[in-house]
Amino acid sequence: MIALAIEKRLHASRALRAAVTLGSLSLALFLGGAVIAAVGVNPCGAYAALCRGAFGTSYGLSETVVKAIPLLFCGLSVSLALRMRLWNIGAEGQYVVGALAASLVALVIPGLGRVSYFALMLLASFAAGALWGGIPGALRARLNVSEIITTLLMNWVAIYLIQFFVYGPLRGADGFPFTSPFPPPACLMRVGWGRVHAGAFLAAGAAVVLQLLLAKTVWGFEVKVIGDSPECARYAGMAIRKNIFLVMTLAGGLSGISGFCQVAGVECRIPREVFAQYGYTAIVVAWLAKARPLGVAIVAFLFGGLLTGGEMIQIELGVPASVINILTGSILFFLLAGDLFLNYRIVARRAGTARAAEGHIHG
Amino acid sequence: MDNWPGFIQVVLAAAVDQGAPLLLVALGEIICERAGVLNLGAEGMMLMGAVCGFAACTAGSSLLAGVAAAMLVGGVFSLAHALLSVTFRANQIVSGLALSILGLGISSFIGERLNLIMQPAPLSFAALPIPLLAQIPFFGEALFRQNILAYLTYALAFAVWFMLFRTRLGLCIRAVGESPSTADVMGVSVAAVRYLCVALGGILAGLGGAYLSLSLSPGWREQMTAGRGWVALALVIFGNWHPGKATLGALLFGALYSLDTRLQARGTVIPVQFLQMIPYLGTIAFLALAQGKASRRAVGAPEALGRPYFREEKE
Amino acid sequence: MSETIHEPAVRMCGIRKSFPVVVANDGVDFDVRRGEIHALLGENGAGKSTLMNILAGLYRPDAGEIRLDGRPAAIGSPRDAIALGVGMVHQHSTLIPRHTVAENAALGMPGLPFLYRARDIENRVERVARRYGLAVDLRAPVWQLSVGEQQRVEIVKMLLRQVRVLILDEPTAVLAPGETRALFETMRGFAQKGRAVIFISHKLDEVMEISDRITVLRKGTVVAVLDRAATHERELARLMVGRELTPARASRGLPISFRGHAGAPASAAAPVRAEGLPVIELTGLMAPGPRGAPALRGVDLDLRGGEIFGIAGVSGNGQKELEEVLTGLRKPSGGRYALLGKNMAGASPSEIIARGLACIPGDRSRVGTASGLDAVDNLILKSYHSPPIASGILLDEREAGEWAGELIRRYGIAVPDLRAPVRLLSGGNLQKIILARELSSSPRALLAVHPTRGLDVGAAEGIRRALLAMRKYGAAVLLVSEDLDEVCALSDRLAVMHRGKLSRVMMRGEATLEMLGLLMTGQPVPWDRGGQAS
Repeated sequence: MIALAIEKRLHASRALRAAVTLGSLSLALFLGGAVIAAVGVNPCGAYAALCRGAFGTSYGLSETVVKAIPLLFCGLSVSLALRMRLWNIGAEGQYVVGALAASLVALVIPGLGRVSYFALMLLASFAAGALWGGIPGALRARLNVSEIITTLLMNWVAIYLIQFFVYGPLRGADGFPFTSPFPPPACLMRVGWGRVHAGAFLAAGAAVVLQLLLAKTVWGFEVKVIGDSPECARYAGMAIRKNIFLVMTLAGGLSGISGFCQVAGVECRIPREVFAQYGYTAIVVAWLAKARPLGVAIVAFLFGGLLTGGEMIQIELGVPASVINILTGSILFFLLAGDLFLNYRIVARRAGTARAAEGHIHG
Repeated sequence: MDNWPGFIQVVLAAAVDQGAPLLLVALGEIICERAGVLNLGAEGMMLMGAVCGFAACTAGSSLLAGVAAAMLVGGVFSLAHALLSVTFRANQIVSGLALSILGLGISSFIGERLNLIMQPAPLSFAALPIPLLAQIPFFGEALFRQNILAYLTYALAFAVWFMLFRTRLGLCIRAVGESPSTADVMGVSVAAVRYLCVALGGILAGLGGAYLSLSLSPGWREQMTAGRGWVALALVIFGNWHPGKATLGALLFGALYSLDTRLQARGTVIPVQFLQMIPYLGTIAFLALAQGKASRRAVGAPEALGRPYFREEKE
Repeated sequence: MSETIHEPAVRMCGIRKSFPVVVANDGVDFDVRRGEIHALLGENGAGKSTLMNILAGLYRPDAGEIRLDGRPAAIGSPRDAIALGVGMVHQHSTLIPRHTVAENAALGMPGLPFLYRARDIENRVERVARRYGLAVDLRAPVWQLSVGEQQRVEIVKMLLRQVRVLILDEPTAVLAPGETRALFETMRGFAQKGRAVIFISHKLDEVMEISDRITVLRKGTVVAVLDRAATHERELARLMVGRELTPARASRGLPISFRGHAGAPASAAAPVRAEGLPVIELTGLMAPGPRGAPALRGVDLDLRGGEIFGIAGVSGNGQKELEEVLTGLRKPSGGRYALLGKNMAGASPSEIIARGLACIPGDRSRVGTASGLDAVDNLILKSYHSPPIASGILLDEREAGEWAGELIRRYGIAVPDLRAPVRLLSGGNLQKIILARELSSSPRALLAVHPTRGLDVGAAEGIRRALLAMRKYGAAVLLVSEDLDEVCALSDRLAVMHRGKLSRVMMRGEATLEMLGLLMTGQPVPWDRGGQAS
């Protein structure tokens, strides 16, 4: 008699990684295809249209970039925290307060120049996000309060705060629950390609800077060691608490800037759909990118494409937009499941040593 | 300004109604987290319950069919999370998020395919005044003119408390959540308990979704939960992983939901959004202040929450 | 039936169990009779706990057979063991701190109804507890109980399952003397009812006080099975720690270069001890252990440049806490700790490193290295923040690579892939990485905790040679080790650590294995006969 057992695997080869990732993706695409087929659309045609819509035309590509910007910022934010094994579930809230702070600058201070608005709004959004990330960071560093829980809770505080302003003091003249447009100098410049705005450069710059910080600096080395083995880092004399606080603050700031880019770049006011759940999707992005900044850039771009392409096939083929969420969910699902094969090996044991397993079941 | 008692009565009645779906989801999540599994997929399971409940109710012209379908679908759907987090030992945070995204997608898909958006609700749970109790001045009006699902929900809170703290199953659940290795040694199957608890969480979240589509605002809209699944997760923390405190929390959160429009209509000094922030800020403050040895134990987060269990031989 | 009466309660035959690095049990035969208290004696790592973990179903043996009351027993899990009447109280707590005593007892209790009444459980627990004189507050959550009370709950938990064989793994390690007496009473009561108790210990006085028979394990094999009445503590100490009663002077297996220094601590090669300030100076150092009980209870030590001070003793007597206090990971609760004359009590690890203390930690894979990072990262762990590796805020990867490459060459570390995580390396190479890194900072003092534990002969010898080189170079070396041969061979002066205190300091050649054995097990030593004990 042979029983299956699961053992920890120390090291997974590159080939195995590639095979498992490919297998997971194909299964997810297959499942998504089945759903598309259920609507009466040829899945292959739909996938082709999706790719064409997202990456094949200038307009599509520009939309993909626009959608990738907030995902990239928030994804970097979540990744930075993940590097120290901290979970920033609060990118959403940090994004929201960042948007709010930038809007306050734009709407409350009149008559500044383009550069002053840019600098002030950037600073304000970063500071607001940093505060929103820093509070959970400080609580974790000083009092060991789980950052998963506090960042999750901070999201609502942010959402109610922005609701207060949008329904109250910042409510636009026309009475709808969004703000008046910002003064034109407070808007981020369009680069002259669809709706793509200067935030794209900011986001790409942030990814490069973060990559350099993590890979090339003394501080990045400390983050790496603390993330891998806190005990060893402490013994080697690294300041763990300080770095927890610092990382959460920086992570919050990054998400905050994404809020600024979104309000100043896309609508040039706080739109009704400011809560597009970018902060939550960013967790997925960061996880898929294995918390590597340049990987986040790629994954954010692909996710932007998925969103844009999803809109395209909705218009062109009548495939419901929800298919994209199903596809995203199943990609995630199968990749997660695939991890088992990377982290563990499944071994067959002969009867003699499998006694334990039986005892386990009958006992 | 003139009729405060009447106002409070209305708010209280609405709080009971608004709080019920939150409480249902929170109770499910409490069971699940007490067994050590964090399920961030509450929103997705709730959406699935809402759409399937409404669809089944429409198709079968029966509220019971709707409720049963919602619970069944919620339970089955949650098993995906159980599979990933228990058997595949995947990260529970990412797995829960996957469930949320998947639920969002599938529920919208079903709703659109079945063309549920513009359909009027054929049936919905109506208020069912309880004889005698409903006659009690003030409270009777507020508490005992609810629909049957609401009564059921608050009864369930007691049932869940009883199950967790007075039955063998509850003891096993709490043991698995606190120390899976000890539970394992004492003959409790960690995997079986966790599967069961995730499924119970899904069943209750599905029911919470059905509460929305069959009672609170009969009908179906895309993303009709509007973040209630996430609020329920916060409610679990606010309620300190305890059904009793979660019930009080649900009433508070429900009252704040209903205050939203009603207080604005009356024009008050304190903006309602700041009132709505209070439970979240209060919870964070509570977590920060509970730092002594005794008070740290008083924070109910199960010790093994979020950690996969794997029996291993080591030197 | 009559046949089984004469069978021992437990009989283990030819038990073998190996782990990736060591063979923990090798052909062990062990039996326990009904109604007896049987002590399992041996040093740390002798294989006592492994043997009992096999009996309790936690480990599966590679070979061998277990019989309970004469019948072959298939023990595949702790559940099987309990069902067969074997229960073990582990060193680490298996109680759930947030649950009440009654809830802990009820978990997995046979015959517990689905809807149980807390009162019924409490009554049942109360009955059992009273029968054995184990009073505990049943409604208190376990975290509120003292360590001794928690242990009582563990025992009650086993008794409720009606075990016939009770295994206690070093139960007195965490107990106050009064509590130990109470525990012994319980053990006697249990044995008098015809059941068997297995008592794992390395404390001779306790073994002599409580046990009927004694099995001595050394390095995974049984060296003796004795009746208590027919033996004495000296014999047990000898059996436990050493092969013969020889004075520990020689340097078996050590390189010639070392022998030159052996008898001559004041030779030209080593600076004169009295010169200069003490490098490490401890006066009345106290520190709490992980559970809050005092682990260091007044340690005095002064260590100068150019000498090796050895601390022998069974681990678990405060060595870990001493390491943590010296490296700044644990705050001392009292006493003085000076490095080169400057008070370092409560200083941060980085301040202590900057003051010149290097350390080979006792836990090389969790504390000594970041196991998921590669060899380069691990080799620069203590030099990453200063030039040439750091230039401003930047980390010069090329310099880091060169630095690491140089160390790898100089220390002969076998690293097949510079970019692979170090957890894939062997223990010996891991230790070499730590050693290379620590010595590269030219430390004034080196703390080496169990530096050769689990290493093969060649790797261990390399590490010892490096320690001697440090001494020659003028550094103060504090060696904490369980290997008596090693401590005796390397140290200029040595002492034994027992229950958080250091024994009288002995000069090289003064200590005999017998004396060390007595000191390690908390026995009085006839000091006047000191050196001539053999």
